[in-house]
Amino acid sequence: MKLIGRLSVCLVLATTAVASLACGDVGDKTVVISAGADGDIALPQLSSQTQSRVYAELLFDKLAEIGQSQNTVGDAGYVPHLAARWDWARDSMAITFHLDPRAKWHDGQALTARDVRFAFTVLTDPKTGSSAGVELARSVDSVSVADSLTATVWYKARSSEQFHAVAYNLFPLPEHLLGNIPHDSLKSSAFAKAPVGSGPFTFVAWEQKRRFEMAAFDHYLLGRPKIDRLVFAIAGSAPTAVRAVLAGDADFIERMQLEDVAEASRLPDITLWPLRRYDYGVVQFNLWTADGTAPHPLFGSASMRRALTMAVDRAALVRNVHDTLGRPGLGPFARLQWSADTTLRQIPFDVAESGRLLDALGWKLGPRGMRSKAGQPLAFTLSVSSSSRSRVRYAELLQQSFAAVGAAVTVNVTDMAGFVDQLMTHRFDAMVFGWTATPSPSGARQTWGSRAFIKGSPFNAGGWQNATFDAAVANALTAMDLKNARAHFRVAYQTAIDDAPAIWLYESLDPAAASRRLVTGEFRPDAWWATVRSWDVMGPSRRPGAGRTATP
Amino acid sequence: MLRFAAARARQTAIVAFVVTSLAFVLVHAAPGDPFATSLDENSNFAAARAEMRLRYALDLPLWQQYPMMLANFARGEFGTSFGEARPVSAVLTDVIPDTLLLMVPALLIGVLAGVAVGTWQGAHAGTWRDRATGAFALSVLSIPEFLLALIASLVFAVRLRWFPATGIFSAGAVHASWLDTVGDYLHHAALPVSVLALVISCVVARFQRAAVVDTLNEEFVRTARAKGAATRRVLVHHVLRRTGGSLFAVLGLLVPTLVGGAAMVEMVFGWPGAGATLVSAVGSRDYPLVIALVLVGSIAVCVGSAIADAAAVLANPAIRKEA
Repeated sequence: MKLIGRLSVCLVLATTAVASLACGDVGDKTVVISAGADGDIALPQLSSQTQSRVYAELLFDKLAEIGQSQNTVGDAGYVPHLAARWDWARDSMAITFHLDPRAKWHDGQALTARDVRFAFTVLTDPKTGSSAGVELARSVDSVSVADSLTATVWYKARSSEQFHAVAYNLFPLPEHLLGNIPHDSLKSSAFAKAPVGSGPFTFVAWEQKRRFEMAAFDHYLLGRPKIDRLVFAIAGSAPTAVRAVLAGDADFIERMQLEDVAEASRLPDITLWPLRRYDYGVVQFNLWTADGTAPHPLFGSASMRRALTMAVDRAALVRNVHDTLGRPGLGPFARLQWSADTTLRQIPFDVAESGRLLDALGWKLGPRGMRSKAGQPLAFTLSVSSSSRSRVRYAELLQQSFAAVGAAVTVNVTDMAGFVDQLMTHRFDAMVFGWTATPSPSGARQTWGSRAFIKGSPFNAGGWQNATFDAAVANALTAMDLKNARAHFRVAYQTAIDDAPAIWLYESLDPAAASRRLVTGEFRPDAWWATVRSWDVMGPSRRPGAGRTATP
Repeated sequence: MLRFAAARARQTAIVAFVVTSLAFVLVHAAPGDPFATSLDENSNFAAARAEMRLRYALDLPLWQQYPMMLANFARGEFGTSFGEARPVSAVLTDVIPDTLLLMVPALLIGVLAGVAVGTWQGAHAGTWRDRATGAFALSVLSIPEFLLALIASLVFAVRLRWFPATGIFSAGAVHASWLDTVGDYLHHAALPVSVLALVISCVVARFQRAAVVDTLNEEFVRTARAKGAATRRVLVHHVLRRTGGSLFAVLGLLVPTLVGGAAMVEMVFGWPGAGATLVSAVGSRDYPLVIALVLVGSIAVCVGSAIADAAAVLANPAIRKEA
C-alpha cells in the first residue's frame, strides 16, 4: 500500500515539475485569440461561417476599406487599400480603380488588375455558390482591365451604395494560382484551406477545430503588422472560449458571455471593451399558418401584434438581461447604420391599453387571468435557440410579460439546428432571435422585404408583406443623395414599427475581452478583426496557463 | 481463448450494426438541416442548400441512403464531414488519439488510486476513516462529470490559474524540445485527467473495498494470518490477487461510462477529442461524422469490455475453471 502511495506521490511531483518547467513559450509578439467555433474554409465571400470570414479577411485585402464612420453612401470615409485611388465616370456608371504598385500576393507575385477581374468572374459565377457574388452581379455588369494596375468596374445602374458594393464585397483573387481550378471546386480545393492572399497576414497552419495560425506579411503594402504571429485557438464552444481568456490561455475574445462579465471585470489583467455592434434581437411573429395557406389565427392580425408589443416593457427587459450592455431596439435596423432614426414613433409600453385592445378583439379575461375567445385560450409558443443564454432569458421574461395581459406562452428551447429548421420551414408561432446587420441598410430588403418570404429561406420567416415598406426601401436604395435616402428609410421603418411584424427587442453591446498586454485601439463595428494589423503587444511574455502578472 | 475471441468479435459486429443503424435513424429523425445552422444573407439560400443535399446524396430517400452507407462502411469509407469539409476518416485520425491521450492516463491513474484507496478502506472497514472516505466517494459520484469538470475549470484554471482551461497544448506555443511538448501536455492534461481519474477511482474504490472486506473473511486469509504473515503481505500477496478478477469485471462495466464521461470532460476543457467532436457534430447535424463516431465508440466499448472480461478470466482461477 505504501509503495503505491509513494509511487503516486512521485508521479504527481514529476508531472508538476515537468509541466512547470516546460510550458512552451508563445513568444512576445504572438497574439492568441480564443474562438468558440472554427470556420470551414478561408476564402473570402465563399463561406457563410463567421469564423471563415475572419480568417479570409485577415489573409485577403480589399480595394478600399470602409472607415470608422461606417458610411456606405458614395465613397466618403473609404480608405485606400489595394487601390491607391479611384475615379468615377461622369455618369457614375463606372469606377476605375488604380492599384497600388506595391500590392503583392503572399507568394511574391505582383497583384494586378487581372486579379480584380478574375475575382469578379469567379464570385458572380453561380457555380461558385457565393451569396455576395449574387448581390454583386445585381449591380455590376463587368470588370475590364486597361493595364496591369488599372481595373474599371462597369455598373448596370447607379445607386447610392454602388462603390460600397464593390469595395466591401470584391476581394481580388490570385488568377495565377486559381485560374485552372473549376469554379464549382474552389470551396473544396486545397487552396481554400491553405490560401495565398494579399492581406496583412500570411497563412501558416490550420488544424481544424484546434487552431488557425497566421504570420505577419513583411511586404504588406500598408506596412507590416506590429504583431508577429496570430493564432486562433478553437475552444469548441462559446463558454469554453471565454474561460480560455479568463484563465490566461488566450489574449482576446471578441464576445464575452454576459454571465462572465462580472468575473472578467474582477481580473486585473483583462480589459473589457463594450463593442458597438450591428446585432439586434427581435420577437418575430409568424403571420401565417404552418402550411402558409391562411393567416395565423393570432398574429395574422396587426392589432393583436400591437397589443402584445404594448405588453412588453423593452427597456426593463434589456436592463434585466443586458444591464448597461444593451439598448432597446428601435426597428428593423441597427443604430449604427447611417439610415437609423432614433426619433421614430414607437409602440408604447402600456399594459392597460394592451388589455383594451385584446378586449376589443374579443379575447376576454377569464377567472384565472388568462384570456380566451369562443372557448379558445389565448396561447402560443415562443421558440428560442439554446445557443444564446441571453435570448433564452428574454424568452422567459417575455413569457411573464405576456402572462400579465392574459396570454399563455410556452417557451420552446431547442438546439440551433432544430431552431433553424423551425425558422426555415416556418413552423413556429413566435420566436426570439437575433440578426447581425451590416453597415449597409440594404439588408432590410433581404430580412424584412416581401420577396424574402420563401419556403426554405430563413429570411422574413414570419411572412410579413407590406408594399409601402418594399417601395420605400427600394426608393431609398436608388436615391443618390443621403437626405432623400434617409427620408425614404424613415417611411419604411415607421411602417414596420406601426405594423409590428416583430417586437424590436434589443441591440447588444456585448463586450470583447482583451489581455492588458494587448494594445488594440478602436474596434470597427462591422468587423472587429479589421484593425488587428495595428494591434501591438506590450508587457511581459506570456507563459500560457501558468498565470500572468498584471501589467500597468 | 480463440472461441472466446470469436464469440466476442461476433457480438461486437452485431452491436456495431445495431448501434450504427439506430444512430442513422435517430440523427435523421432529429429536426434540423445540416446545411442550415449557419445563416447569411444568401439570396439563393434554398438553391445552395439543394445543391449541397444533392452533393451528399441527402436528396435520396432514407431507405436508399441506409444501404449505401452500410456498403460504404464495409469498404472503410465514412464519407465527408459536412462541417469540416474533409473526409470523416481524417477527422477520426485527428480526434481518436487525442481522446486516448485523455482516457488512458485517466484510466491508469483512476484504477491505481481506486485500488489503493479501496484496499485501504477494506483493511480499515468500519472505522470513521473508512466511512468518511466512502462518503466522499459517494459525493463525487453523485455529481455529474460535467459539473465536476466545470467546477475544476473555474477554480483551478480561472480563479487560481494553476492550470490552463482549454486545449491539449498551448495555442501558438513553440516547443523547443520533446520535454517542452510533454510538459505542455501534462500541464493541460492535469485538470481533465484528474477529473476523470477521480470519478474512476471512486467507482473502483467502492468495488475494491467490498471485495477486500469479503476476501479478508475467507479461510485462506485467516490461515495466512495464523501463520504470522504481516498485514501488508496478506493484502498484497493474498487479497489483491483474489480481488483482481472482480476488479477487471468492474473495468468492463466502466468502459461505457468512461466514454460518456470523457465526452463531457472534453467539452468543458475544449479538449479536441472524439467526444467533444461528437457533441458538436450532433449539434450541427453532421450525419456522417455522428454515425462514424458512434460506430467507433460502440466498437471501443465492446473491445474494452471483452478485454476486461478476458483479463477477469485470466486473473481469477475460479472463473477460469467455470469458463
